[in-house]
Amino acid sequence: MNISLQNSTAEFLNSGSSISESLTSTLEDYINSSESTPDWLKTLKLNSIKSLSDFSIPSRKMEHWKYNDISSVISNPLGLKKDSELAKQPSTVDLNKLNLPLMSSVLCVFIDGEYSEGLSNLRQQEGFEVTTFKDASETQIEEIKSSLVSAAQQKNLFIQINDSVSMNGLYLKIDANKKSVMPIYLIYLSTNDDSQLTNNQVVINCNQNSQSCIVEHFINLNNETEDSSQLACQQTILELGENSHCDHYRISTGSKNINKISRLLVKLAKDSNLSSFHFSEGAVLDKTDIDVWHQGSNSESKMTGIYLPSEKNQIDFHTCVEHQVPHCNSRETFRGIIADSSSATFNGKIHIFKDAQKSDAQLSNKNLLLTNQAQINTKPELEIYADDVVCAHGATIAKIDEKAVYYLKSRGISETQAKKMLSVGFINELLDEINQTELHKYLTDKVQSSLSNLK
Amino acid sequence: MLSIDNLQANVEDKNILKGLSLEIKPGEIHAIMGPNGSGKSTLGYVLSGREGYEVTGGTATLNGDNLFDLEADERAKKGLFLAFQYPVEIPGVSNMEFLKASVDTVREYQGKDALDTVSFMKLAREKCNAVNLDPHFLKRGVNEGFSGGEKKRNEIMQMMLLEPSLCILDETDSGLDIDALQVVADGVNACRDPNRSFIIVTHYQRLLDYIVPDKVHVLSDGKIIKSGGKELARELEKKGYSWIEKA
Repeated sequence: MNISLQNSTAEFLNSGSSISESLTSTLEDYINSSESTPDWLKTLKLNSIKSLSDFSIPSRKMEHWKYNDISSVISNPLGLKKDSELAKQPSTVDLNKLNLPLMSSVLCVFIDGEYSEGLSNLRQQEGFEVTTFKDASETQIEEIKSSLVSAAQQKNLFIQINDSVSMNGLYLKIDANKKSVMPIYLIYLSTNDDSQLTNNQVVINCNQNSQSCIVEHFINLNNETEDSSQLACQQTILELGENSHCDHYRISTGSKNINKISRLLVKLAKDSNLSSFHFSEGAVLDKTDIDVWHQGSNSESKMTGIYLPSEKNQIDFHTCVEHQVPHCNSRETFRGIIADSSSATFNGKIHIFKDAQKSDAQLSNKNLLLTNQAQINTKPELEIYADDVVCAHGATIAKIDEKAVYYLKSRGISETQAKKMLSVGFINELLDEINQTELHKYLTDKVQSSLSNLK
Repeated sequence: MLSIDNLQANVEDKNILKGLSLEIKPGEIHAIMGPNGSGKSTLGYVLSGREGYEVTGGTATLNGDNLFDLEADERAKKGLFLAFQYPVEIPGVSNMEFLKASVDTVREYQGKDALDTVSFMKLAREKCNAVNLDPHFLKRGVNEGFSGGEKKRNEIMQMMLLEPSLCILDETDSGLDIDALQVVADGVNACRDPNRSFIIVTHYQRLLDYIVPDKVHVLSDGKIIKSGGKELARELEKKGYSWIEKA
């Protein structure tokens, strides 16, 4: 089954056109024809499809898409595999060959969006529940429904499509008071080599007083093909219960030749604490929307991000931290090193609601441009409706400091090595915030290798 | 050791060095004094290979190698060291990582054995103590948040680690209190060696009480206009530069 957003490039240039009824009915047929999807999930999805009519086809005239080149996604028809086909996919993947960190942790593996029980390993750990949406119990269904419905958003058409057609979902629940030591490692593998749209949704519920470490990792295994029209869509909804702590990581590696559009939504209840680390090496387009909603007072969030696009890749982070209630604290620090003729977009917004007095929010974005062709569009935003708050935001764009290069060279260090040291130095501080030793090493190596082509 | 002949150099198309000649033999210490804007710092930058400092005439050879054929890092590997007047702060790169990279590269080039991390750290701590710098400075970013005196001592420590054959100290004494001056001077004196030469650029005779030079040169308007022994420095301190410039 193919879905097509646009029939011709000409129409794409016209921009802003609405979603055709034929697309809507195609998607409805897709949902209805699924044999393995339970009725409750079908109902949910069919409802979500109705919201599609509120969206228009993305174009550069829209703020959210202003700096993205999505022509390769929008001008080709995308194939959507039936869930029965997906389930039959042979799992020829050998995880051990991927040199991944944290292999002794709890593993939840997805292939092209579909949960793979064979590759996953729950380590017989206690204190948490894992189920696919399809196999969820009555209680779990209610919890999943409530999470999905409350996650609705209006910005990103592809996330809406993801919500409408994704029948591959995983529900992960950390029990109340559980102080889990072992990280839970979610691995999203892309293996397709043709123009496919793959979808996945994950709902994570960290119950009150729990402590957890969740690592999400996107990997594209098919880096041989020149084809760049594959689109992987993913959405994670992370709910932190009262006084829960979550150490969260969301990283994307080796995805150079696919498109990835994803969203993370975090909801923080009273006294909860989130630390969320983001890392991307870039893709044809790697676009991530991050929404952090402080819904309970005295909750704290710390977000850290590193992006390293190279060649012609694009990375886009749209973050929005909402202080919906008083006495919350948020810290956001993103840094990017932009190489070759790649481009990056950072749009970070702090939104303080009317009653959210005593909010303390800070946002910083720093960028290092390595070439004259590299591009960064950064836009920190404040939207404040309360009058007793502390908010700070800032963005910088710089080139490598020639004085520092000379200083290092005067000590015998070659120009290439000097630039590499200075680039790594630019993000070192952020890498050091990774608490997981194996992951720290893995990402430090990734940084080193992604800067190895530096001239 | 170092042979400079009729060196002329421009900075941003402005002629700064206007035919400077200087001969330094192994083991010698030469002091260069002179009024502001005479080209003292430019000499250091030109010799070490800073971009934007354009050589328009003349030659400079270090142990037979034509310096101007070499990149800044290659000059350092051949044994040239410039202690900066204003060392650059590099947040994010630790002093230790920087020193190790520097020493590794230079030692490898000079065919010396590579130092493993443990022996390097031991050596670095030793040199820190020699210049009275707390070893925790090794963990901080390069010169990041260092005081003026700490930066200068960090420079001398680097010099000790790299064991260069020609050391150029660009106003290393400026901004130092008397105790720090003593430490820096002791560091330099400890490095004295029949095969190591020094160019000490300074405004004040005071440093030369601690580091006794073999020769003193007066640089004015891009040229050496007078050379003499250590007593010349004293005379300058008394009379200023104008009596030479007028002569």
